[in-house]
Amino acid sequence: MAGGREAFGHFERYVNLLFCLTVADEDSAIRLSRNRSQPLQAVLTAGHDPSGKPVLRLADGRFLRLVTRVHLDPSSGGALRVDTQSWQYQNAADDDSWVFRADYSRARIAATSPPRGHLHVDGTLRQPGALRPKQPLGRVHFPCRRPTLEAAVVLLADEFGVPTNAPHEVWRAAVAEHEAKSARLFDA
Amino acid sequence: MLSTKTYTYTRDEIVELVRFKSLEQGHDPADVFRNFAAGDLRHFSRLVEAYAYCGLLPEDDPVFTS
Repeated sequence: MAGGREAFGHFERYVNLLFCLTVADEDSAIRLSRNRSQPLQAVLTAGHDPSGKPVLRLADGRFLRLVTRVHLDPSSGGALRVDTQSWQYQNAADDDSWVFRADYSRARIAATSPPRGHLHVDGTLRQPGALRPKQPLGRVHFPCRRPTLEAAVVLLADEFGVPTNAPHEVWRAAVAEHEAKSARLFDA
Repeated sequence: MLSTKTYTYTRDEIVELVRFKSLEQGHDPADVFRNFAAGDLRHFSRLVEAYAYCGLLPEDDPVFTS
């Protein structure tokens, strides 16, 4: 993916291809939103309609909520950087029936805030008393580095059995190639 | 390929989008603008879309201080 003004278009096409090869239903959509007077910023979300939920329909009938804010970094030749990102696997398009979620914010945040990158899993621990009283597992922030879109795809396909549109060896090779590349591009 | 579309908004349209996404989640848009400007992304998972659109506005936009 090239940097500069074209980077947003490349990013949109890359995300499109990533989900086309893998877990997206053919009726899915992604959209890029920009401010006409702020050319260095963009928001990529799933879904057809800006007033609707930012969700991608998956091949298993469930949904992936996807919101990513990116900017072009002038100090690095216009490379694309991820500012915030959240992806959430959920049972329905518009309710709270989520399974897992990954959140990331590049911004410096208060010391009491959760880690910049973290995972949530909605569920119940088998071991009683391991969590603080009245602390549901779903509210626990499991720290991680920036959770990538490629990681979301692999998790959905390989661990949760979401059907993929391309054969495993095809999409796995594409994901492996691009994950290393996108880490260099987005995480610097 | 999936359906893709690029939307190019004015400043006022983005402010309205943030208001809509905040109210949809039961939050006061004024709080969302103020918290975003302070770097306090509380209720991040619920307000992630509203915060993302806040990021399309310049840091010195009046909506962050009004």
